Amino acid sequence: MILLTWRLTWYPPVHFPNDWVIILCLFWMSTVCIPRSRWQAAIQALAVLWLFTVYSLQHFPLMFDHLRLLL
Amino acid sequence: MILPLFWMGTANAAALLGAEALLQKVRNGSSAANAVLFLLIHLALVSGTVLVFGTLGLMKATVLGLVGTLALAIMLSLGIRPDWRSLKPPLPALPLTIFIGAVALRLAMQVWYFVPYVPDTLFYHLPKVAEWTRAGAITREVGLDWRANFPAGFELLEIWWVVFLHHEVLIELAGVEFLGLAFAAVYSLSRSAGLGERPSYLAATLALMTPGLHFQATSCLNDGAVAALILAAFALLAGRVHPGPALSAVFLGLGVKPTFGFALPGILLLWFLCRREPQDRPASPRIARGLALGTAMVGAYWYARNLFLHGNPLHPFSLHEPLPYRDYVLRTTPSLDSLASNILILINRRLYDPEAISAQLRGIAGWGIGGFAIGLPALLIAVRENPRFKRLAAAFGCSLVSVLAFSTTDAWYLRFTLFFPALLAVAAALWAERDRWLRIPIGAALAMLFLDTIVPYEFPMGGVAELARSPWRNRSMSSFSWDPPGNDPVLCVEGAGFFYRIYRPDYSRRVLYARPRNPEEVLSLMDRENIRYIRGASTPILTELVREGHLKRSIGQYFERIPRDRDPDRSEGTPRPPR
Repeated sequence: MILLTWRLTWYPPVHFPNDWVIILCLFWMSTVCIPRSRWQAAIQALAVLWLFTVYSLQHFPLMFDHLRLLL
Repeated sequence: MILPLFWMGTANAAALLGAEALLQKVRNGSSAANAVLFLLIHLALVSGTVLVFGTLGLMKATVLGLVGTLALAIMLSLGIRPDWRSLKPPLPALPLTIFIGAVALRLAMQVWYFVPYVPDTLFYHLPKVAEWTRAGAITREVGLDWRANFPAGFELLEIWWVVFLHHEVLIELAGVEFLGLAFAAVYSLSRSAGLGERPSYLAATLALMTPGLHFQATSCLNDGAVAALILAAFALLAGRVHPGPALSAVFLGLGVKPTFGFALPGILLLWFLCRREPQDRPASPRIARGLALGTAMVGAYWYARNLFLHGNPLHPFSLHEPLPYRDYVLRTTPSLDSLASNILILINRRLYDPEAISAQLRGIAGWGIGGFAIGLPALLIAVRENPRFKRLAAAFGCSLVSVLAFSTTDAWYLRFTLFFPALLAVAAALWAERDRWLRIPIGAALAMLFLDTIVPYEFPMGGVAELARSPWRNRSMSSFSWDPPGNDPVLCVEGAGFFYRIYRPDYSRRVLYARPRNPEEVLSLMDRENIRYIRGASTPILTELVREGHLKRSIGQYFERIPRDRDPDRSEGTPRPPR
């Protein structure tokens, strides 16, 4: 919660939905507040999928460009 | 070629058997930690051998091969044999075995086809390797780059892989050895965190595929080696090994690069947290202490050399004066400003790796999609649920904060943090052990990481095709440097760069370094050494020699000597006027 508060208030701008700190905070809350269940697993899977997506959008276009030029 | 290969084979067999013999005397703690210890002893033996023979001026393939053969014969006659049972560890799950096999095969191809390509290595790491290999000794000459006086513990391993063939084709094996050490260390750390054998392989594979660490292995840079030695120190302490061998990792690390010291607070913290855990006593504590002492000497050699030659163990850094080359002073105390700016740059941008992966990690963290998308959330779960992991996380976190506080913010500072993704890999494997659905994203991440680690960003366009076309004996990327015709020595003066490429892949070209004070010194050196080409910047001295008709500009940074019959001073038979 401290991290989330810090990220949303003290340290603008927030690059939502690109902000992995917020995703991690929500992930953390899901592990603490929701008992182990399918619901918890679904939320965690969504968080992982989100992180996969934001990383891929930033990294892979450039990586594939690089490979295409080299190979 | 057969004889050098034979010498290389016997010397390596002797080093491996020697490491095995020493391991029997110092082994204790968990079996996974002993695998780390074996690799560490092997690296220490090879480093020490190259250092001793290099200092004695006997660093030749024949000498090393003969000594290796003799040592092998003595060990075999004494009944020392490899412990085959301990060499048969349990295999990981079949898909992971296939994946690791594919990565190993690709690493072998990268070693075979890659040539040194990172500018830093061509400027100041590898000229030492080439110069000392040619001389068969660790000489005073290290080249013209001011950074060439940095510790060269990693270069000792590189020399080991080039000295027998007198060729650079296997030089990347030094980095691959350290990658193997990192793999074993992460496996051991996972076992210490309570993971089973198969999940520990998953953690080790995720760490192995950390893009920054992976490319460092085949780039001839030493930051990957430092990360592997940090991980080894963590693994030995967490694996309840005698402090002597654990200290060996620290000493070897400091001999590879002083930045190892940035991570020391975390290593000390882990030692403190583990100090009450019961430890097995090694068969020979004296040998364990001797190992620590030997590696201390190997690591301290470079600092002692700088103290002897330059009066300052940290030369060219100074604790008081800025370097004459950059506005940069070695930081001896952590800086909160650096810590804050390094953390913000990491979390705001570089953690996403917003570029293709380069070995130098320019503008990226190089932790990869596995560390980012799975490792970070897994860290939260593992810290909450696993007390053993909590201890590791505290130590790794302490080292990370320390490294970030000591590092000056630049485009490459995250290459000092390559040990940290290993913790994320262990956390991911712990989470995958708990929630099986996670194996799907981990499989996807491994596939993406495999794609990510094919060719580094530093490769020039067309570089891959050029390397694939070239025969191994003279494989190089022409875009790096033009190779002057003939076999005459090349003289390098102020402003020259990419020194290593001048030596050629088989180190057949002699390179001389000079810091001339006037044009006469250049001319006399060229006459004495029969030099046709000079490499350097257009300094006043070279400009004057061009103006006077002694030199003409050639390709790139090269100047060519004008033949004597066209040399105005000599053709007229008049001596040059004194200056």
